[in-house]
Amino acid sequence: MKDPLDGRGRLRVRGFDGTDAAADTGEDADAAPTAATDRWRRAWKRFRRDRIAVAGLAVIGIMALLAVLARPIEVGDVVVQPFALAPYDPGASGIAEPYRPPSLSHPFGTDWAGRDVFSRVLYGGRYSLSIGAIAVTLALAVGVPLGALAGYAGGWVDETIMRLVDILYAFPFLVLAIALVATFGQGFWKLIGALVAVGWIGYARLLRGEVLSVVEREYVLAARALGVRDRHILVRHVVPNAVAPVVVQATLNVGTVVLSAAALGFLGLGLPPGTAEWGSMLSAGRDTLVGGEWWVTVFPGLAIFLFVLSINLVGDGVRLALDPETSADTYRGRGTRRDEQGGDR
Amino acid sequence: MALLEVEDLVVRFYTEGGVVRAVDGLSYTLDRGERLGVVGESGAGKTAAALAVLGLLDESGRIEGEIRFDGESLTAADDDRLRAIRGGRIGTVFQDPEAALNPVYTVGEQIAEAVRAHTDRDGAAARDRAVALLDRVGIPDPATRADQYPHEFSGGMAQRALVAMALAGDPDLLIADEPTTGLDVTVQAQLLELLDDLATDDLAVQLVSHDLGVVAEFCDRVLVLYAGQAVERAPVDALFYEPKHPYTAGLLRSVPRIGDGRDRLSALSGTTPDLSAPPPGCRFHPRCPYAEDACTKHDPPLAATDDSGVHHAACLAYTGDLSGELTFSVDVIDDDGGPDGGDPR
Repeated sequence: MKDPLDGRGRLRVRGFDGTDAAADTGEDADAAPTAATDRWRRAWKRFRRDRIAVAGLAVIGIMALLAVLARPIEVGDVVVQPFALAPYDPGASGIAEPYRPPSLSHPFGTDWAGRDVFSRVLYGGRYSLSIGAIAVTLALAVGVPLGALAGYAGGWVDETIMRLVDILYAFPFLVLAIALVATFGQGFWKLIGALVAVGWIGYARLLRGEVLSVVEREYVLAARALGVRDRHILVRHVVPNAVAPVVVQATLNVGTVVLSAAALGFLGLGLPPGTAEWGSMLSAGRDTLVGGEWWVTVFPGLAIFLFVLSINLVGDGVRLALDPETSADTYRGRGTRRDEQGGDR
Repeated sequence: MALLEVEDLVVRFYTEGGVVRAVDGLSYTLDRGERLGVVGESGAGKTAAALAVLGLLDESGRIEGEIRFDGESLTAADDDRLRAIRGGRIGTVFQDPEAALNPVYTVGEQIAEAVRAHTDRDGAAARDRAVALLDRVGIPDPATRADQYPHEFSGGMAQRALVAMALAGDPDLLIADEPTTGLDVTVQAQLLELLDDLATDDLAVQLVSHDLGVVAEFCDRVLVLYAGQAVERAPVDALFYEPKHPYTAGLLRSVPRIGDGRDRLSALSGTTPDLSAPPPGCRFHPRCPYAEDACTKHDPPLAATDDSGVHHAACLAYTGDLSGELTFSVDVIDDDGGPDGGDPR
C-alpha cells in the first residue's frame, strides 16, 4: 500500500509480527452465512407463535370455509363446489312454521317467514366476509398509491390529495356511507363502493406519514445517488418499508367494515331486504326483541361478534409480529417457545 | 483537463433561522486516478459540497457556481442526464453502511438494481455481475452472500457491499462520504486497502473525512474546509509536516496520539461559527491565536504559500497583510530506524 508518510513521525510497535498476515485475509470477522430470511417470513414466524392470534385466524378460516361450503356454487352450468352444509335454501320461506324455537331439525329456529335461521347464518357469511375482504382490498388499492404519491411527491400533489382526505374525514364515517348508499342505491357492489369511498382515506393518511419518514432514510439517498428513477425508488424502496402499519390498520379494519356493512344493513341501507346478510337479518328481526323470539337476532349477532373479535385478535397479532419494537419477551409471556427469537432480532 | 472541476461553488440552505451558506466559494479540481481528501470539523460543509456535486441536496439547498465533470456542466444538466451520471460515472459511498442498504431486499438484488440502471444487463446477467462485484470488493463466498439480507452483514461487509454497488456503473469518480466512520480500525484498514486497490485502476476518489489518519494514509492531496470555505489545499505530505494555516495546525495538534504522554487532549478553543451569520473578515479569526485587527476586516483569499505552486492557504500571512508571524511548527517526535527495527508497517 502506498504510504506517503512512511518512516516519518510514526509510532512503531516492536515484536508484534502477525500484523500483515492478519490484515491480508480480507475477511471480516463474521458469522458463517446463514439462510436468508426476509422480514415478512420472520413476521409470519412470530405471528405463528402468538396463540390467540392463531386461534382468531382459525375461527376466520372455519367461518370462511363454512360460508363457501354452505350451498353449492355454480359457474355457468358447471358446479364448482358441490357441498351443501346448510340444510335448506336460505331464501326459501315456509320451510317450517314461522318463529319456531331452536330444535333438532332447525338448530337456530326459524324466522317470521319460516326460513331456516341456521342456513341463513351459514350462508350470510358469504356476504359479510366477502364485503370485508373486498372493501378493504379495494380501499388499500386506492389509498396506498395516493398516500405514497402524496408523501413522495409533496407540493401541490400532496396538498390536493390530503385536502381531499381532510374533506372526507370531516364527515362521520357512517353518515357519509349512508349518504352514498342513499344516492346511488342499494346492492352488493354499491355497498362496497360506499365502504371503499370512506375507507381509503385512513390508509392514505397513514401511508403518507410513513413515507415522509422513510424518504429521509439513507438508503433512499443511496438509491438516488445510484441514479435510480423516482418511480422505481417509490415502488421498490419507499413503499415496502412504509407499508407495515397500513397492513396492520387494514387487518383491524376488516372488522370495522363488516360492522359498518351490518350497521347499514340494520338501517335498511345495505343489501336488498330479505338478503341473508347478518346485518340485514338483525334488522329484519328487530321486532322479535319484544316478542321474545331471541333466536332470530342472537345467532346472526353472535356470528358478527365472533368474526369481528377474531379479526381484531388477528390484527393485534399482525401488529405485534410486524413491530420491530416488540421484544422477544412479549412472545415468551404468551407461553411460546423461546428459541430462535434471539436470532431474529 | 481535470475530471472534476468545481468553481466558486456556493451552497445555501434557506432555513427558518436565516440563510445558511454551508459552502461558500469553494473551488477545486480532481484529476483521473487522483485521491483527494476533504477534511474539516462537523458542519464545515464537507458533505454539502459532495452532495452538491451529485445534485442530491434537499429542496431547501440552492447551488451557485459551476461544477464540470469531464468537461460537462452538471449544474446545467437536466434530471435524466444527472441520473445517468449518478451511479454511472460518479459512484457514491455513504457513511452508515447499514442505513444505506434497504432492509427488505437482498444485498445482491440491490447491487443488481444498480447494474440494471446503468448497463444493458438484465435478469441473470445483472445478478452475475452483482456477484462478480461482491467478489471484486473482497467478500468471501459472494454467491451465497448475494442472497442474504443487509442485517446478515457485518458493518465492514455492508460497507464493502456499498462500494460494490457504487462500482456497478463502472464510474470514473468515487465520492466516499466518511466511509470509515463507525468501523473499527482493522476493518477501516481493510476498506482503505480496497479503495487503494480500486484507485490504482484509474478511479478518482474524493474521500470526505474528519479522520486525519485515514486521509494521511490514503490521499494524494488534501483540501481543508472551515466554515464552508477552503482554508488550505496541499499535497498530503506538505499538509501534515508543514501546515500553513493556523486552523490546520490546530487540527493536527488536537489529534490524540498513542503514547505521547500528554495529560489532556488539546482542543481548538471555541466552536465553528454559525453559518447563517459568519464572523466578518477571516472566518477563523475568533479562534485563531495569531489573529490581528486586519483579520477581522479582510477575508483572505486562497493564496500560494511558496514557489512550488501546489500549497495554498487562506491566511493573511500569505498576502502580506499580517504584521505578526505564524510561529507554529511540526516536530517529528519519533525518528525512523533503530538497530532492531524490522518492518515499520
